[in-house]
Amino acid sequence: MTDEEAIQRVKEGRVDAYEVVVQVHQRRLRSLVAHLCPPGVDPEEIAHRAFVEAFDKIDAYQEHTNFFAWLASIARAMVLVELRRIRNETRKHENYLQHLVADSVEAEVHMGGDQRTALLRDCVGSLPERLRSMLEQRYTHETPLTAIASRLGSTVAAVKFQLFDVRRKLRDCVNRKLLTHG
Amino acid sequence: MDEGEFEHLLSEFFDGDLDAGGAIELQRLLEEDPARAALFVDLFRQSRALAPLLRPEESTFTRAVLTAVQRDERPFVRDVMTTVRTRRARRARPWVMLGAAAALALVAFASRSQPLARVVASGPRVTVVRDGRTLAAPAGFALERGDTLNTPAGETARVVYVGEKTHLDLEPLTELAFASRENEGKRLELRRGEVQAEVDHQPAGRPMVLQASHARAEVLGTRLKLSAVPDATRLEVQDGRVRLVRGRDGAAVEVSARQFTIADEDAALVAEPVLPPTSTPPVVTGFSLMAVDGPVSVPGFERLSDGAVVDLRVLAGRRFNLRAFTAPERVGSIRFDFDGDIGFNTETKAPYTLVPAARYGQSSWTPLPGRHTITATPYTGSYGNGLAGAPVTITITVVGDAP
Repeated sequence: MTDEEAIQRVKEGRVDAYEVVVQVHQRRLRSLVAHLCPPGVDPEEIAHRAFVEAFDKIDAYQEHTNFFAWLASIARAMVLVELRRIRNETRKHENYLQHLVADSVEAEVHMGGDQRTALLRDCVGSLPERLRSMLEQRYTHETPLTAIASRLGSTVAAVKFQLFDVRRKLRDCVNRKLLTHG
Repeated sequence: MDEGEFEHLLSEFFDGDLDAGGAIELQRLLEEDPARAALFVDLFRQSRALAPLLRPEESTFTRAVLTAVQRDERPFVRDVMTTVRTRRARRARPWVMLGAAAALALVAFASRSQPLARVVASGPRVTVVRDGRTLAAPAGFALERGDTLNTPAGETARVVYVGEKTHLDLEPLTELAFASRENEGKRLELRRGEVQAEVDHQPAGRPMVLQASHARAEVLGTRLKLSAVPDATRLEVQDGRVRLVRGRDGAAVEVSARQFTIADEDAALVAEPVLPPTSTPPVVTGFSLMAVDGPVSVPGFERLSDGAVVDLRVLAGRRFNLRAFTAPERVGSIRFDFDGDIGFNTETKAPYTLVPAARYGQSSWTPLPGRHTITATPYTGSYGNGLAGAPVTITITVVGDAP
């Protein structure tokens, strides 16, 4: 069953078909939302709420248009509410990091924000296997640094250094691609 | 300013190892240089996006199955579906409550006076109970005295004490309460679950105290793992020494590196060596009926095979228990399922018996006449953790009157 067929069934009252819709779009949406949320705002909760909101308003979705774009617009609206709330708070100094990220991403939320995550995916794909494996252990499985070091026959300090280095390389790669692709 | 030091602070931040002093210094450096701030923002957003991006594709099925134990995408789908179904059925609006909880957490985060510790990594459903309210506890959440941190099934949390390197890792289904009064020092109550702690050197005479159901651990600086189940408290020490004091009688034992001990209702409080890590799953090699007055088999029941008949008239006057044998002789734990009761008992100490002494105040098993099915599953870790061996099932028929 395609997601379009699943959406049609959801509109007909088949609630279970929505599971297919969530499975098809969840990774891309979670990644997009995670990229836009400042500290103190839980991207998983925003993504969760966006899916639920989309379900509630499924009748408003026009068939054969881009469902992900519609879903992402719901999520972005929720992120914007959070960003504005943070910016309206007066305790900027106390929550400096939260404000720093919130101030930086609002324009990008308006523009879409999906391009950077797509480029990041490309950049991760071009990493050597050893570095990609290290990232997966750290970010996907949340493996402790001591365990990663043990598996790689390395030290915790060396793993920390390599992780920071690969984070910076990924950032440079994304920025380079952004310049190239406009 | 040495850029190397700035990068070191950034690295510590993204690895969750930045202490309070480092956080203040990092903030100062970010405030004084927009280029540094831009780098921080990019790396922060990138870090957040990496976890969802790196999850395996559906087509890599085998890999996904292998990694599912550690982290699975399906709970997210299930959560959404649960909410959707609930909303359809009740027309309720649970996200309003979720949003309110998150807002309360942020308000609490913003209005804290002096945090005791901070959550630096947590799953989306990890919560804190504060003054009777349940708050979401995302990364960055400031913990105060009197808070109780809860991890749900499948989610963990890491807590770092402000101003030192002490950190705590909470396993799923753990409830950890922070002492409410300042004069209680660094005191934690593990109400259930398991916590791994790496404790920075504590001032002499003021140890960190980890209280659990059956005992308390007094820690001056070490790495340890403490588990609490209704029947017992288990302490495992990786580095240093920890003093464990049993609650019911004040008996104490010093547990050294690579040793563990279990405090329960009846067993002696002794430190034993931790099993070396292994990649080979343990095996259940057989069953017997064991006399309760000593770990020897009841004559005639040294090997209890599938289909065996146990005649209670033969055992009249004897108190016995069912025992599982393993290879190696000592394993992390054995889970017994009994007549469809999954997880009827999990034993962490040899001899591995179907009926635990502490649960019933006796160590004998008195089966009712009829057919009984017993399954034993061995694990390399305590309480059903670690590598699992193959489950072994036997069905026995009990005849005659109870002795």
